[in-house]
Amino acid sequence: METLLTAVIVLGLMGFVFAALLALASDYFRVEEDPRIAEIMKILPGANCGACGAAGCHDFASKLIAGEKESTGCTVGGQDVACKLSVLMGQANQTVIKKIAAVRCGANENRRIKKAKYDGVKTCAAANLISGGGLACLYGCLGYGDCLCVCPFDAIKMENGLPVIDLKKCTACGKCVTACPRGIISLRPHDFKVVIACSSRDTGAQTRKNCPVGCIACGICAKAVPEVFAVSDNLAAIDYSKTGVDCSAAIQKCPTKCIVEN
Amino acid sequence: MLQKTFKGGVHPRGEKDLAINQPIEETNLPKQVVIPLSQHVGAPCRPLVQKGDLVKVGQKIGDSDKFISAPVHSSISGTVKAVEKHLVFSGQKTDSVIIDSDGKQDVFDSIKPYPVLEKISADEIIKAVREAGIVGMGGAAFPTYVKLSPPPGKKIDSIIINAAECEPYLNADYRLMLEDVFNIAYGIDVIKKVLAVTKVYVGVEDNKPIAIDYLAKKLNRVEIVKLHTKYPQGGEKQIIKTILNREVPMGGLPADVGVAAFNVATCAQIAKTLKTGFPLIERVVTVSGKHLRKPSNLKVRIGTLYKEIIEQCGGVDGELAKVVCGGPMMGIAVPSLDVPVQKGTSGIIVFTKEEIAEMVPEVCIRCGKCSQVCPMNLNPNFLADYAERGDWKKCKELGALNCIECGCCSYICGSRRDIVQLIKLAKKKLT
Repeated sequence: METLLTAVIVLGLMGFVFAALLALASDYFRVEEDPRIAEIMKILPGANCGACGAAGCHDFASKLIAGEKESTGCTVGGQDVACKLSVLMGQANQTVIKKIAAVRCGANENRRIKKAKYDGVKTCAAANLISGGGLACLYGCLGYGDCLCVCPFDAIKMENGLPVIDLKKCTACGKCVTACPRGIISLRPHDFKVVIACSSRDTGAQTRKNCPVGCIACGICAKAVPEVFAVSDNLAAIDYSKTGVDCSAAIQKCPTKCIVEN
Repeated sequence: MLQKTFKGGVHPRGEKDLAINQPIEETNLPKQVVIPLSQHVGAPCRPLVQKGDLVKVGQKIGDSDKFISAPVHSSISGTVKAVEKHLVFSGQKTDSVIIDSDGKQDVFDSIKPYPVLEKISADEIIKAVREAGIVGMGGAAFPTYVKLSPPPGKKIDSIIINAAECEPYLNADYRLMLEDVFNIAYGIDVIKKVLAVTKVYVGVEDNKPIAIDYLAKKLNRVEIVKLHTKYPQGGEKQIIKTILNREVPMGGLPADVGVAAFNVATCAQIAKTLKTGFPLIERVVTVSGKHLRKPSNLKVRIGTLYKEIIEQCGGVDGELAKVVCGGPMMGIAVPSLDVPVQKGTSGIIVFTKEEIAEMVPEVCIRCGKCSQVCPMNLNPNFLADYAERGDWKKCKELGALNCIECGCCSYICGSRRDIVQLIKLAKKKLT
């Protein structure tokens, strides 16, 4: 019994001594931090995705206080977070256009035309370096899912060799945009649901040979809905600033059905 | 006597017998050539011709103002059909000039021989080499005039003529040594004059005894070095280490250790340009393969499409499965036969379905063989692992940028891992 008691007393004393030392140390080595950082951190989603361009949420918070970032800078948080941040920072409330990732290729596993068999490292970045992974189209999706691997929100899944964006989960952080070696994924406004599902800059004749669903730059969409669609550099493009225009005529008339709505 | 060699390396089957006794042959005049504007290391050229222009043989069709670059020339006479993006061997599309032949082969007016060596200054030679668009013809395609003008403060004391030709299948340099030795000798004299160096070594692998004897007879005042037959003996850094026992520092150039190394074909091309005035518009290419009906060494005009060349070699017996540009160790499988021969294309190797094995990569078993054979003293297994995990920072720490992509690690790997491809990916991400 006595041994036990001694041990408890000694260990207890040691505990108190170290606790006191730690308390002193935490006071002595204290780092002065703007109290607003903690408050901003509470508002931010805390995903540390880096979509804002800062190294993480904490970095964003300190940059916001330093005036290097806007209160609308957090794409993940959207309008809600932007409102709270602007109130906290005493800035005027700004509207955020909610964005979402869009895959600009429509050739899934069955439609893809292959001219060579690729036998190598199974990632898009590696396949793209070697003869374009055997795909006939040098602009199309390779299908190895580099985008899926980097998505911090689990918003991408591969369906039939083509990435599909989960519209509810996607926060437009832009990680997939930079991960795709062919630059197929881009961000579009959430409410403008029309996408050109092709990125090919080949001439129309070449694209037709390479892919059954590629944009052949025929310009029919630009004739049907000239306010929104335009063809440049062998590819149709959408002017996303023209909201509220009915694009159904262009979607229906597209001969290769590469304009899709999702 | 111990043979001179370097640390690491592998011994792939040579397969040189296929085309070793085929003399260099002329090729048929192609109906169309595709001349990429970027066939070299450095800045791409911008086109000097437009659609519809008439061009003649040897006319400059692309040039750049940048220091590290080399102009390109038309290899045939005819009409420019288009200046557009065209597929090249790497699978990418680059700006190219497409020329339809008129069959006349008219020579461009300003092409005339340069003065003899005694009457031309070093600066004039360097200018001539630049204007002729000469690049390293061993495969790397580094502009030769840059090598001929070493940065001030770097003293070159030795010249190495690289005639190792260590890649399996290739015989282009070997045939050139036997058939064009006078141009090689003249080229060596030119390089000696420009760099003001007297010490010249010619490195030849000991699997080419005839060439060694022949060169020893025909070349004066050079030292023929018999090299151990081992891949990658012909790597620039490896041949310098072997012959002079000097190590090119990490990220450095041969000029840093006082050496300038030239491929034997480059050397012959310099002589040809000075003697005739013609720029680099054709080169010797070994077309080989076990099932190719007529393995040959052909003098091919730059821009000729692969399919025409393979056709001329009789096609293949069996099902064509893979065509490799360059040697089988470092070469790249081409995505289509509609790609043109470039200045750096030393070989076209054709494989049929039976010869191709599909490799399924397994996990690394840490046997360490890749580290043993790596001629650059790297740890390919770690590099590949980190590259697979996307840890580019760690790849850089382990010296991924020093990899010469020789392929020894992938060749030796018992788990059939795509090590070089992963390191290439890391290099791409780091630059």
